[in-house]
Amino acid sequence: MSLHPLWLIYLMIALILARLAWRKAALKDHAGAAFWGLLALMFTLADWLPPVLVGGGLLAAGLLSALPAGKPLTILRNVTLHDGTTPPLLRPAILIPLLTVALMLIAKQIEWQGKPVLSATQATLWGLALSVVSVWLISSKVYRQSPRLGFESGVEVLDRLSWAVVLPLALATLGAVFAKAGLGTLVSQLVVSVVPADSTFLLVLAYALGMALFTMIMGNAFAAFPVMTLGIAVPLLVQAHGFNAAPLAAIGMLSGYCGTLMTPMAANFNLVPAILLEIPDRHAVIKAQAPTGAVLLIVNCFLIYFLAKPT
Amino acid sequence: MNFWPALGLLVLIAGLALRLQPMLTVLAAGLVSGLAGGMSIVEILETLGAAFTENRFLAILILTLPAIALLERLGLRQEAERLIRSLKRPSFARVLIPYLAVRQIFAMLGLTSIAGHPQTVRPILAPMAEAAVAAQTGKPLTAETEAKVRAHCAGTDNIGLFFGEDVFVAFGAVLLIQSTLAQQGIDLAPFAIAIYGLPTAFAAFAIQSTRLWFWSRRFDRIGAQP
Repeated sequence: MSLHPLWLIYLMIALILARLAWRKAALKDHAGAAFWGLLALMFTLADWLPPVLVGGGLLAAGLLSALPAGKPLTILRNVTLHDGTTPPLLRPAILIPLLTVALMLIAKQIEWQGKPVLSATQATLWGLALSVVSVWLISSKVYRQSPRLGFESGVEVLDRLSWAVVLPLALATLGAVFAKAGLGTLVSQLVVSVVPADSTFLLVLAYALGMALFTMIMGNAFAAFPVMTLGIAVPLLVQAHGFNAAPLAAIGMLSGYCGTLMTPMAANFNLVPAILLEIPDRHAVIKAQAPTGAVLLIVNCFLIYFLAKPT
Repeated sequence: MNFWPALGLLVLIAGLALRLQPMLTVLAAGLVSGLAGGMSIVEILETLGAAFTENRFLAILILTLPAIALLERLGLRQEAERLIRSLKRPSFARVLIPYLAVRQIFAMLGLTSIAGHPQTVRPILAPMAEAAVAAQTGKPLTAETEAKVRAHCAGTDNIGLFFGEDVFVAFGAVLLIQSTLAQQGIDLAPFAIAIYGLPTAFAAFAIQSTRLWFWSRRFDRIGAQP
């Protein structure tokens, strides 16, 4: 099997995971060490292992994560700069996003035999990965710290974030099972069965709210869009009532995005930041966004109705 | 129609509501949903494993930690606070509303990765917003306010991203809309679709900035109390 285009990124992630496993083992936290060690292995080897084994590994990691947590890592060193001044740290901080975009644009251009090597998402991930690694190394050099300080500090933050960092990944796998088990078509069939086909406003409402609901369950508007659009919007609104397809579909998709703001299934947008920002309530970001999402969803229903309705 | 897979959804909702261990809740929901949908255990594990392998990129956050932890160890938060204190009248709204606008405009231009939770929210936006609120209220933030401010920073970033990127013609959503409709014989140029993302983009900005402004006023009032 050929090497995954992101494999080196996964290897670097695995190094951080493995270091945490090592430090957990040194503290005699065997469950913690097993959990992080298992993840490090799965990140490195998943491309070559049979999927059933990777799924089993994920299940084992889930069980390990439920065991009582061991002692947190003691923080290795505190930093006092050589001359006691504070360095202009906003510069490297702003370098992260700028470098990410620059490297992403370069990565997109790389071609092999006339075809781009990386997809848009992969190019972005490479941009971010190379950017944060460069900023880590450059800042270590400029501020005269050993690169180990950043590495070990990162491991300590990872320890604080704990198993929550892999929760989005677990939710993504759940989305895949939901899709295979037929949960998606169930929703669209239910929506179609309750809506009277002659009221265009109710149909618009069913489409927009259905997009939001479906997205909340699957965590992804892209999964909801084809099912709802081909199931409701095109046959019942475009073909039967002459609605304009462009505003209908465009704002329909954005109604799905309103659902994305309101669901833990969209974990990378809604749960990861709560974890990353160390907010105790995991659902705090969803609670902060939900009112905007709900009002915007209502606005979208009216926008669709008035922009797509045939005159 | 087979309604049984919805059992998995119930397990998920119940588990999250009862605050059971989320990793286990999620995996249990997957098992229940898969079994109810007629999948075998091996099939379920294979689906889980394939999805894990495909979605590993969601953990990219881990790779950002050394850089961010290093900058924070050296005093990045204090630096952001100093910058806010040097402004004449810092406020929650004056930090977050311009951020929302810039985030939406960049996303419309296709520059979605220029900001994000690890890139800008944790290292820059959240410390500045917290410092601004501290300046408004005239005292250090309570744990509750700090959580609220951080949650609004993350949410504002999401809203700016979601309701900006759909206006960009080369964005995946626009291309998905175009190809889905093309299957049905409805041929549209990507531009004709993207342009209809604009009304919602303006509405999203108006709604979110109004809410941020009200929050900011609330912080001002706390500061005005004797």
